[in-house]
Amino acid sequence: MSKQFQFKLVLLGESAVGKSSLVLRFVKDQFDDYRESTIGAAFLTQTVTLDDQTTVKFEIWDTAGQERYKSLAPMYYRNANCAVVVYDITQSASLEKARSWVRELQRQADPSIVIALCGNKTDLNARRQVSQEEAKKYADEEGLMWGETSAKTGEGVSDIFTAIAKKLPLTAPPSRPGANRASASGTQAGVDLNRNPVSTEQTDGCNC
Amino acid sequence: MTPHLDWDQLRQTSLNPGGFGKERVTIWPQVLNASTSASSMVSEPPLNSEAVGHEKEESLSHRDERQIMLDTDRSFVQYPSGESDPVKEEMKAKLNELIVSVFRKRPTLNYYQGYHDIVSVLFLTLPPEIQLVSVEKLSLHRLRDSMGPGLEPLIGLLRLLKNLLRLVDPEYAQLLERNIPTPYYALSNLLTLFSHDMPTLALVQHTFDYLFVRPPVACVYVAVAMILARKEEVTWLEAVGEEGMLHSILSGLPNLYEEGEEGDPSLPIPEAEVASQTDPEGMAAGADEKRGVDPLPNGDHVPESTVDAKEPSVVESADNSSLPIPLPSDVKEGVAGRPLPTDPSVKQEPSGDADVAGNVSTPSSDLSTIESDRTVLDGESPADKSPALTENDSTLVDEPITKVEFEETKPTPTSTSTPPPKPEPEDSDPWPDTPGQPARAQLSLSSLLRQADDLLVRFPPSHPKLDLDKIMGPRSTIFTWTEPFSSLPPDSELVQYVKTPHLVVLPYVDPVEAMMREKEARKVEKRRKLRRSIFARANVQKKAVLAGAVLALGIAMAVYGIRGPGDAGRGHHRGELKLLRYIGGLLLASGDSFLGRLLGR
Repeated sequence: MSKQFQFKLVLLGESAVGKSSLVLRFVKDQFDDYRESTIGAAFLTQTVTLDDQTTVKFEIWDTAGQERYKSLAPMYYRNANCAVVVYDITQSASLEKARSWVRELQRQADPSIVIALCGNKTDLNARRQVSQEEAKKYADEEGLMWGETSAKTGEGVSDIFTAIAKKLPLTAPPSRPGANRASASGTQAGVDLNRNPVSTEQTDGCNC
Repeated sequence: MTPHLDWDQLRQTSLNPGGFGKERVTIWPQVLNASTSASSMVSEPPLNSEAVGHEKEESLSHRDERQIMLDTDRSFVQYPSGESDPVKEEMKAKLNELIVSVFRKRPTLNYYQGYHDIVSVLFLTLPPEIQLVSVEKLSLHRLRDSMGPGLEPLIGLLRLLKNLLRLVDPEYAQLLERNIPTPYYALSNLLTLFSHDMPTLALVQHTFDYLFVRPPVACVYVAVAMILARKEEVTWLEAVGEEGMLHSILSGLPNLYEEGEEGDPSLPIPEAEVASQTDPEGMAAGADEKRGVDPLPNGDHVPESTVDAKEPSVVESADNSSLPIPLPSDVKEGVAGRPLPTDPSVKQEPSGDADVAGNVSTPSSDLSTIESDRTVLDGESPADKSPALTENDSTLVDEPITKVEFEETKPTPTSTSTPPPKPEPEDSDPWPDTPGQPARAQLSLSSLLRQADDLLVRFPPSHPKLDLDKIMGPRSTIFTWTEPFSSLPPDSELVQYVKTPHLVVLPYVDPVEAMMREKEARKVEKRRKLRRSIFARANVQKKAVLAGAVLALGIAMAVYGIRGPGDAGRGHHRGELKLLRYIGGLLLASGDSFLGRLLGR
């Protein structure tokens, strides 16, 4: 029997950078030219099978991008094992927003959270405002994973999720549905994932 | 002058299949109090702000216009269908102009994502000359709570929803709360008055018919009726350990249809048609639903014999619904999810054995869902309304991530519907479903609305256990909306109400949230400690205790700090006492745990 893991993943980022489209591509391998705004949050799951037959089931919380929904975010990144912070390569302001999400995660989320910075809309390369160098440099400085994707063409989408799956602590006891309710619900109260924080490499930033 | 409105009659009519039908074009402006000023609006150019007095100078552009553009750009995805792209683009531009006009005219209001969903319905329903004033009045009188600086008022409504659910069906409420303490899944439904997730324009219009002739709080009752309809699915999901899916199920809608129209399972559907509408995955479920069909026309189906034969479930509640009017005893006992409306057309799929086959054939299909995916439920296409094509059954395929299709699907509902399942090994869910998964509840919109009405009668907003006046403040639409419009506060006053959010929803600290915050604060403290040298150890512990005290103080300040002097609240005192008790408890708890940590060392 192959090993099975279940992880909570949260998508954050400015409005209209393509968070939902990224998830739709990942989960259903589809793309809509027009996709409605997300209100509140959406929940989806997708399972990734790694080379060694290990399966990683992502429980994905896709959040709304508008600033006024920000106060809900902690509910979704709390206890998250990984976060994909998305920006739009054609909007430099969206990278700024991504930075602020990263800062918040570093301060507030589980210290062992795996954060991936994701530049979406590479199909619009002609209108690029955020260079790969700039984003990569920032990601390196902060110890984030980084990748570029196009939810529209599918480019890079499965790569980034697979890379996250590989980076997650696959040595921890697999959490199975039902075994730990907390892992199944973003709004679950008062229960930690039964997983120890494994790293303190991300600094607290302003806490010094 | 506002023509005389017979609210009782309107409320009755709104329950009928199809609601107001074409009449809504004249009824909506009236019940939104938009008809009086309508004549003056006709000649007014859209962006010309004849805003009252002091608002004038601010009315050039609104801070939320960028966000409005981002959202109107992706409007009209579900409906209307069949319009060409250029036509849709033009509609989006007009919708944008309409929304921007409202905010330029009423600059104190804030735009929220989801507002555009509501406005798009009015845009598609009303003639252009009456749109602006209707949307404006709707915003001022009914949506205003959500148009302040934050989401807090809406979260207040979620708490009300929770209280209502506890009254209606305590057992079910408990099940839900142990998985999702605050019903955030209802957020999009309440924020958008169900317009975000309704599959067809006709259904949203009918829902608005219902809501617009009732007090603003009615949306909470509709939301609860919807949640009750999902009981069987929710119970099942918890039983198989897929609680995460609860959010998806509950933030979506049951499978709704209009009685007597296409999609109504009580209408005879030729076998062949059913078969052709049924996608391979949903085949068995479709068959079940057919079995669940009420063969009789509405009104004379009294299946009381089944009530005792099954364990309590939504099926039962549907059966009970054929009782004409809740009797007093019914009110007492009828709490457990069996309130139901005087409408026998509520249909639930039979659960149990019948579903097994369907689920064996689709081991993983609905555990990978997009909650807001309404693509399979396009109202313009009768086939999509087939009960067999439920969201759960047809769209949800765990695609192997190794498979990458670069085809781009158009956003038309049909083209985005699911590709057939690929029986590759990766497709199978690593944790196969337990057989017996219930199909998505389906019921007629009229019966759902009747149930909401029934709840309104049995648990009116004034019900002491709902604590409405301890949740919402005096400036909430819940309290400011009145039926004789003559007693509504003037618009110029209403636009200022959003600036005093603490009088819209009374200050509240969610105990669960507070607990989590406290835990987080402790975590941060732990991390700090790790970084400190051993010499500082004793010091740090002192600081931890201090942090607990500071945290409690912070909460107290958060609660009281935003309350200005001279608050004209009502019924605040008990709330404050409760809060104090709670903070006291929190202090005790944190003190206790810190003590534990100190002793443990």
